[in-house]
Amino acid sequence: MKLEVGGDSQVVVVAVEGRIDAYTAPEVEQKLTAAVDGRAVLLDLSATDYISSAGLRVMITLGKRSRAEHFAMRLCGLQPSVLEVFEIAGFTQLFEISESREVALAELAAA
Amino acid sequence: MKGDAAEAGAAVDAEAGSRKEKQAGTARLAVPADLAYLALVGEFVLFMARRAGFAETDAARLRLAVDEACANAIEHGGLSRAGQPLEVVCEASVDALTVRVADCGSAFTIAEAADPEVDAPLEKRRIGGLGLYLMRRVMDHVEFRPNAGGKELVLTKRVRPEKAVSDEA
Repeated sequence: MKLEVGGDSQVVVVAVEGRIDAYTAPEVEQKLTAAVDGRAVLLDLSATDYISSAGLRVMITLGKRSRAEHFAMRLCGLQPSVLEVFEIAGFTQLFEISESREVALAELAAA
Repeated sequence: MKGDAAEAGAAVDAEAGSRKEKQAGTARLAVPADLAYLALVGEFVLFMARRAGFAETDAARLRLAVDEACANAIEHGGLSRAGQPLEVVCEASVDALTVRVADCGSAFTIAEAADPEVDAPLEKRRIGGLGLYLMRRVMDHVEFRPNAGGKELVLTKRVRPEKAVSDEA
């Protein structure tokens, strides 16, 4: 698993490559926690090829924090197998999901 | 076999079945009870699923269910404490793949587990319970069985043409 943090003055973009499973989820959560600073958060999962319930738990934690601390949160680029896990768990109703990073950034800018 | 596998770090022991049209057979993977090995278990399950004739979508579902089972066994099944490796046994028949994951934990029945509320709003979503729920949604049969050292989780999925999970609910 590799995680890259970027973005600009408005949005912090976190791109995760590889697997988000029980082994890597704690590191993803720790780096996400460190990256969140009140700006909108865009989680780019276009290079994430696998997610398990451990990864979904990280999403719940971040989602709850975004509500509590009033920052926007959006996901983008979910591969079909990752999207299916989100759908089964009912997560497509919980999170704003865009097809691509470009679309997600435009939607965050317009919000 | 168990001890050797633990010492070697990882070992695959495959018995090829008879050369029928479908690649029936049994294979066993033993790795240290360490979450770092989940990625390797995933590759093993994908390999076995493809070999058994599963389409890619169903092979990915099998990988998800077995990954959840193995993470549970490592985190809650007492394998490390007992000095046991994580063992994943895949048994392919002509029309199904059965995967068994043993641990040293106490007996448990599916009926004891409450499904998470998958339509609850974010504020009310609980952190736990998702793993077993995912397993049950993507597999045809999920069962805990007591065994000599604790229990084993038995996961079965039938080989079939591509079909969306949402159609099966």
